[in-house]
Amino acid sequence: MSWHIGGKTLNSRLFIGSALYPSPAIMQQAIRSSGAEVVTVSLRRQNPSEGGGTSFWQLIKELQLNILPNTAGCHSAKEAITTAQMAREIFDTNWIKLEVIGDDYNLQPEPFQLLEAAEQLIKEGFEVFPYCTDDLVLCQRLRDVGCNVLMPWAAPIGTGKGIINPYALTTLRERLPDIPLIVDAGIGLPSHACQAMELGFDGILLNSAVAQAGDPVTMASAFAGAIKAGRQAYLASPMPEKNTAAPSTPTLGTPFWHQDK
Amino acid sequence: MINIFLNGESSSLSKPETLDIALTQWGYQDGCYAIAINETFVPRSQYHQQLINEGDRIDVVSPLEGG
Repeated sequence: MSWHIGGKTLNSRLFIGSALYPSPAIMQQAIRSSGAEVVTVSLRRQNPSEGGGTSFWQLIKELQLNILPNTAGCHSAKEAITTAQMAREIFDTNWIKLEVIGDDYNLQPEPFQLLEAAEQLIKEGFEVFPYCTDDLVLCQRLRDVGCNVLMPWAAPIGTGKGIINPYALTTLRERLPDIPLIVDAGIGLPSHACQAMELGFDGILLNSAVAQAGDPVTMASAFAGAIKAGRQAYLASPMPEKNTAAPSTPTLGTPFWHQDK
Repeated sequence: MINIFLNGESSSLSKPETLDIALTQWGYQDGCYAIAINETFVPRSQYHQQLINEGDRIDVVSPLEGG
Protein backbone atom coordinates (compact mmCIF):
# COMPACT_ATOMS: atom_id res chain seq x y z
CA MET A 1 0.00 0.00 0.00
CA SER A 2 1.44 3.35 -1.01
CA TRP A 3 1.98 6.25 1.35
CA HIS A 4 2.97 9.89 1.06
CA ILE A 5 5.88 11.73 2.53
CA GLY A 6 7.68 14.92 1.62
CA GLY A 7 5.52 15.41 -1.45
CA LYS A 8 6.33 11.95 -2.83
CA THR A 9 4.33 8.75 -3.06
CA LEU A 10 6.22 5.66 -1.92
CA ASN A 11 5.48 1.97 -1.76
CA SER A 12 8.35 0.89 0.49
CA ARG A 13 8.57 2.02 4.10
CA LEU A 14 12.29 1.36 4.31
CA PHE A 15 14.81 4.16 3.89
CA ILE A 16 18.32 2.83 3.47
CA GLY A 17 21.80 4.25 3.88
CA SER A 18 24.64 3.97 1.39
CA ALA A 19 27.61 3.69 3.78
CA LEU A 20 29.76 0.93 5.25
CA TYR A 21 29.14 -1.76 2.63
CA PRO A 22 31.94 -4.19 1.80
CA SER A 23 32.06 -2.88 -1.77
CA PRO A 24 30.23 -0.49 -4.08
CA ALA A 25 28.76 -3.43 -5.99
CA ILE A 26 27.34 -4.98 -2.82
CA MET A 27 25.95 -1.57 -1.86
CA GLN A 28 24.01 -1.44 -5.10
CA GLN A 29 22.78 -5.03 -4.79
CA ALA A 30 21.73 -4.61 -1.18
CA ILE A 31 19.86 -1.38 -1.84
CA ARG A 32 18.01 -3.03 -4.72
CA SER A 33 17.29 -6.08 -2.57
CA SER A 34 15.81 -3.89 0.16
CA GLY A 35 13.16 -2.50 -2.16
CA ALA A 36 13.83 0.92 -0.62
CA GLU A 37 12.83 3.92 -2.65
CA VAL A 38 14.82 6.42 -0.59
CA VAL A 39 18.58 6.31 -0.11
CA THR A 40 20.62 8.54 2.17
CA VAL A 41 23.88 10.15 1.09
CA SER A 42 26.31 12.68 2.52
CA LEU A 43 28.64 15.46 1.45
CA ARG A 44 32.31 15.31 2.23
CA ARG A 45 35.41 17.25 1.34
CA GLN A 46 36.92 15.98 -1.87
CA ASN A 47 40.15 16.78 -3.63
CA PRO A 48 40.05 16.97 -7.42
CA SER A 49 42.45 14.03 -7.67
CA GLU A 50 39.87 11.84 -5.95
CA GLY A 51 37.35 12.32 -8.71
CA GLY A 52 35.01 14.57 -6.79
CA GLY A 53 32.72 11.76 -5.67
CA THR A 54 31.71 11.14 -9.26
CA SER A 55 31.98 7.35 -9.20
CA PHE A 56 29.91 6.98 -6.04
CA TRP A 57 27.30 9.40 -7.27
CA GLN A 58 27.06 7.53 -10.57
CA LEU A 59 26.30 4.28 -8.74
CA ILE A 60 23.59 5.96 -6.71
CA LYS A 61 22.04 7.62 -9.74
CA GLU A 62 21.81 4.27 -11.48
CA LEU A 63 19.45 3.12 -8.74
CA GLN A 64 16.95 5.85 -9.69
CA LEU A 65 15.75 6.37 -6.13
CA ASN A 66 14.75 9.41 -4.12
CA ILE A 67 17.83 11.01 -2.58
CA LEU A 68 17.83 12.05 1.06
CA PRO A 69 21.06 13.95 1.76
CA ASN A 70 22.17 14.17 5.37
CA THR A 71 24.04 16.72 7.43
CA ALA A 72 26.01 14.07 9.31
CA GLY A 73 28.90 15.38 11.36
CA CYS A 74 27.49 18.86 11.86
CA HIS A 75 27.67 20.20 15.40
CA SER A 76 25.85 23.51 15.03
CA ALA A 77 22.80 24.94 13.32
CA LYS A 78 25.09 27.05 11.14
CA GLU A 79 27.06 24.05 9.87
CA ALA A 80 23.89 22.07 9.24
CA ILE A 81 22.17 24.90 7.37
CA THR A 82 25.18 25.44 5.12
CA THR A 83 25.48 21.71 4.45
CA ALA A 84 21.80 21.53 3.58
CA GLN A 85 22.15 24.43 1.16
CA MET A 86 25.09 22.72 -0.54
CA ALA A 87 23.16 19.44 -0.69
CA ARG A 88 20.18 21.10 -2.31
CA GLU A 89 22.38 22.45 -5.08
CA ILE A 90 24.22 19.18 -5.73
CA PHE A 91 21.34 16.74 -5.42
CA ASP A 92 18.60 19.01 -6.73
CA THR A 93 16.23 18.14 -3.91
CA ASN A 94 14.73 20.09 -1.05
CA TRP A 95 14.79 16.99 1.17
CA ILE A 96 17.32 17.06 3.98
CA LYS A 97 17.97 14.58 6.76
CA LEU A 98 18.87 17.08 9.44
CA GLU A 99 21.51 15.86 11.87
CA VAL A 100 23.11 18.11 14.48
CA ILE A 101 25.22 16.11 16.86
CA GLY A 102 25.51 17.21 20.48
CA ASP A 103 27.63 14.44 21.92
CA ASP A 104 30.36 12.63 20.05
CA TYR A 105 30.32 9.61 22.34
CA ASN A 106 26.81 8.43 21.57
CA LEU A 107 26.09 10.71 18.59
CA GLN A 108 23.08 12.09 20.39
CA PRO A 109 21.32 14.93 18.58
CA GLU A 110 21.76 18.48 19.94
CA PRO A 111 18.10 19.41 20.43
CA PHE A 112 18.43 23.19 20.62
CA GLN A 113 20.62 23.56 17.54
CA LEU A 114 18.48 20.99 15.72
CA LEU A 115 15.34 23.01 16.35
CA GLU A 116 17.02 26.25 15.28
CA ALA A 117 18.30 24.69 12.07
CA ALA A 118 14.96 23.06 11.30
CA GLU A 119 13.09 26.31 11.67
CA GLN A 120 15.49 28.18 9.39
CA LEU A 121 15.62 25.49 6.72
CA ILE A 122 11.84 25.22 6.58
CA LYS A 123 11.72 28.98 6.00
CA GLU A 124 14.09 28.41 3.09
CA GLY A 125 11.79 25.82 1.54
CA PHE A 126 13.41 22.61 2.70
CA GLU A 127 11.50 19.46 3.57
CA VAL A 128 13.24 18.67 6.83
CA PHE A 129 13.58 15.09 8.07
CA PRO A 130 15.02 15.69 11.55
CA TYR A 131 17.06 12.98 13.23
CA CYS A 132 16.06 13.45 16.86
CA THR A 133 15.83 11.70 20.17
CA ASP A 134 12.59 10.15 21.38
CA ASP A 135 11.89 13.16 23.63
CA LEU A 136 8.21 14.07 23.29
CA VAL A 137 8.62 17.79 23.83
CA LEU A 138 11.44 18.09 21.32
CA CYS A 139 9.33 16.23 18.77
CA GLN A 140 6.39 18.51 19.45
CA ARG A 141 8.57 21.59 18.97
CA LEU A 142 9.97 20.23 15.71
CA ARG A 143 6.42 19.68 14.50
CA ASP A 144 5.45 23.17 15.63
CA VAL A 145 8.20 24.83 13.56
CA GLY A 146 6.94 23.03 10.47
CA CYS A 147 8.53 19.59 10.24
CA ASN A 148 6.19 17.27 8.35
CA VAL A 149 8.00 14.14 9.48
CA LEU A 150 10.00 13.21 12.57
CA MET A 151 12.81 10.67 12.83
CA PRO A 152 13.43 9.67 16.45
CA TRP A 153 16.16 7.19 17.25
CA ALA A 154 15.60 3.68 18.52
CA ALA A 155 19.11 3.69 19.99
CA PRO A 156 22.36 5.53 19.24
CA ILE A 157 23.63 5.35 15.66
CA GLY A 158 25.42 2.15 14.78
CA THR A 159 24.73 0.33 18.04
CA GLY A 160 22.19 -2.13 16.66
CA LYS A 161 20.56 -2.32 20.08
CA GLY A 162 17.01 -2.00 18.83
CA ILE A 163 14.37 0.00 20.63
CA ILE A 164 15.86 0.84 24.02
CA ASN A 165 12.84 2.85 25.17
CA PRO A 166 9.62 1.36 23.80
CA TYR A 167 7.61 3.52 26.20
CA ALA A 168 8.97 6.72 24.65
CA LEU A 169 8.29 5.60 21.09
CA THR A 170 4.81 4.38 22.03
CA THR A 171 4.14 7.75 23.63
CA LEU A 172 5.29 9.58 20.51
CA ARG A 173 2.92 7.57 18.37
CA GLU A 174 0.02 8.14 20.73
CA ARG A 175 0.64 11.86 21.20
CA LEU A 176 1.57 12.65 17.61
CA PRO A 177 -0.92 10.56 15.67
CA ASP A 178 -1.03 12.73 12.55
CA ILE A 179 2.63 13.16 11.63
CA PRO A 180 4.72 10.49 9.90
CA LEU A 181 7.23 8.97 12.31
CA ILE A 182 10.28 7.14 11.03
CA VAL A 183 12.60 5.31 13.38
CA ASP A 184 16.11 6.36 12.46
CA ALA A 185 19.19 4.76 14.00
CA GLY A 186 19.84 1.95 16.41
CA ILE A 187 18.07 -0.82 14.52
CA GLY A 188 20.11 -4.02 14.40
CA LEU A 189 17.74 -6.79 13.47
CA PRO A 190 14.66 -7.20 11.31
CA SER A 191 12.71 -7.97 14.49
CA HIS A 192 13.61 -4.50 15.81
CA ALA A 193 12.22 -2.92 12.67
CA CYS A 194 9.15 -5.08 12.86
CA GLN A 195 8.59 -4.02 16.47
CA ALA A 196 8.73 -0.35 15.54
CA MET A 197 6.26 -0.88 12.73
CA GLU A 198 3.96 -2.80 15.07
CA LEU A 199 4.00 0.27 17.33
CA GLY A 200 2.54 2.23 14.45
CA PHE A 201 5.64 3.90 13.08
CA ASP A 202 5.43 4.82 9.42
CA GLY A 203 8.88 3.77 8.32
CA ILE A 204 12.40 2.73 9.20
CA LEU A 205 15.69 4.33 8.24
CA LEU A 206 18.72 2.12 8.69
CA ASN A 207 22.17 1.55 7.32
CA SER A 208 24.60 -0.40 9.50
CA ALA A 209 22.22 -3.29 10.14
CA VAL A 210 22.29 -4.13 6.45
CA ALA A 211 25.73 -2.91 5.43
CA GLN A 212 27.55 -4.63 8.29
CA ALA A 213 25.68 -7.92 8.09
CA GLY A 214 27.65 -10.90 6.86
CA ASP A 215 25.41 -10.99 3.81
CA PRO A 216 24.06 -7.47 3.24
CA VAL A 217 21.98 -8.42 0.21
CA THR A 218 20.04 -11.13 2.06
CA MET A 219 19.72 -8.97 5.18
CA ALA A 220 18.25 -6.16 3.10
CA SER A 221 15.57 -8.52 1.89
CA ALA A 222 14.94 -9.70 5.45
CA PHE A 223 14.35 -6.12 6.58
CA ALA A 224 11.97 -5.51 3.72
CA GLY A 225 9.89 -8.48 4.82
CA ALA A 226 9.98 -7.55 8.49
CA ILE A 227 8.85 -4.00 7.83
CA LYS A 228 5.94 -5.20 5.70
CA ALA A 229 4.96 -7.70 8.39
CA GLY A 230 5.10 -5.09 11.13
CA ARG A 231 3.00 -2.66 9.16
CA GLN A 232 0.37 -5.30 8.40
CA ALA A 233 0.29 -6.31 12.06
CA TYR A 234 -0.27 -2.70 13.13
CA LEU A 235 -3.10 -2.29 10.65
CA ALA A 236 -4.61 -5.58 11.80
CA SER A 237 -4.92 -4.30 15.43
CA PRO A 238 -3.02 -6.75 17.64
CA MET A 239 -4.83 -8.54 20.43
CA PRO A 240 -4.64 -6.95 23.88
CA GLU A 241 -1.87 -8.25 26.13
CA LYS A 242 -3.05 -10.00 29.31
CA ASN A 243 -1.41 -11.16 32.50
CA THR A 244 -3.44 -14.33 32.90
CA ALA A 245 -3.61 -17.32 30.62
CA ALA A 246 -6.69 -17.93 28.55
CA PRO A 247 -7.11 -21.24 26.70
CA SER A 248 -7.61 -21.01 23.00
CA THR A 249 -9.12 -24.50 22.72
CA PRO A 250 -12.77 -24.61 23.90
CA THR A 251 -13.10 -25.91 27.46
CA LEU A 252 -16.67 -27.03 26.91
CA GLY A 253 -16.72 -30.75 26.19
CA THR A 254 -13.20 -31.41 27.39
CA PRO A 255 -12.86 -35.23 27.70
CA PHE A 256 -12.18 -36.81 31.06
CA TRP A 257 -13.60 -33.74 32.83
CA HIS A 258 -15.32 -34.46 36.13
CA GLN A 259 -17.51 -32.25 38.31
CA ASP A 260 -15.35 -32.83 41.39
CA LYS A 261 -12.21 -31.42 39.85
CA MET B 1 50.12 36.19 -2.69
CA ILE B 2 47.09 35.44 -0.52
CA ASN B 3 46.92 32.55 1.91
CA ILE B 4 43.75 30.56 2.34
CA PHE B 5 42.58 27.21 3.68
CA LEU B 6 41.28 24.74 1.10
CA ASN B 7 39.42 21.82 2.65
CA GLY B 8 41.17 22.47 5.94
CA GLU B 9 44.69 22.63 4.52
CA SER B 10 46.87 25.66 3.92
CA SER B 11 46.98 26.80 0.34
CA SER B 12 47.61 29.99 -1.58
CA LEU B 13 46.84 31.96 -4.69
CA SER B 14 49.42 34.08 -6.50
CA LYS B 15 46.95 36.99 -6.57
CA PRO B 16 43.33 37.62 -5.61
CA GLU B 17 41.05 35.62 -7.89
CA THR B 18 37.39 34.93 -8.27
CA LEU B 19 36.22 31.53 -7.15
CA ASP B 20 35.65 30.14 -10.64
CA ILE B 21 39.24 30.89 -11.67
CA ALA B 22 40.65 29.59 -8.39
CA LEU B 23 38.76 26.32 -8.77
CA THR B 24 40.29 25.79 -12.19
CA GLN B 25 43.75 26.47 -10.77
CA TRP B 26 43.16 23.93 -8.03
CA GLY B 27 42.11 21.32 -10.57
CA TYR B 28 38.37 21.24 -10.04
CA GLN B 29 36.64 20.69 -13.34
CA ASP B 30 32.91 20.93 -13.95
CA GLY B 31 32.39 18.19 -11.44
CA CYS B 32 29.74 17.41 -8.93
CA TYR B 33 30.64 19.66 -6.03
CA ALA B 34 29.32 22.52 -3.92
CA ILE B 35 31.19 25.20 -2.06
CA ALA B 36 31.12 27.09 1.20
CA ILE B 37 33.43 29.95 2.12
CA ASN B 38 33.85 30.61 5.82
CA GLU B 39 30.94 28.21 6.46
CA THR B 40 28.61 30.18 4.18
CA PHE B 41 27.20 28.52 1.07
CA VAL B 42 28.21 30.03 -2.25
CA PRO B 43 25.75 29.20 -5.05
CA ARG B 44 27.31 28.08 -8.31
CA SER B 45 25.80 31.10 -10.05
CA GLN B 46 28.03 33.38 -7.94
CA TYR B 47 31.37 31.67 -8.54
CA HIS B 48 32.40 34.17 -11.21
CA GLN B 49 31.92 37.17 -8.91
CA GLN B 50 32.93 35.67 -5.56
CA LEU B 51 36.37 37.09 -4.75
CA ILE B 52 38.62 35.03 -2.54
CA ASN B 53 40.14 36.97 0.34
CA GLU B 54 43.13 36.46 2.59
CA GLY B 55 42.41 33.84 5.25
CA ASP B 56 39.25 32.49 3.65
CA ARG B 57 38.31 28.95 4.61
CA ILE B 58 37.01 27.21 1.51
CA ASP B 59 35.21 23.89 1.60
CA VAL B 60 34.62 21.95 -1.60
CA VAL B 61 32.28 19.00 -1.03
CA SER B 62 31.02 16.17 -3.20
CA PRO B 63 28.58 13.29 -2.82
CA LEU B 64 29.71 10.42 -0.66
CA GLU B 65 28.08 7.50 1.08
CA GLY B 66 26.04 8.31 4.15
CA GLY B 67 23.56 6.86 6.59
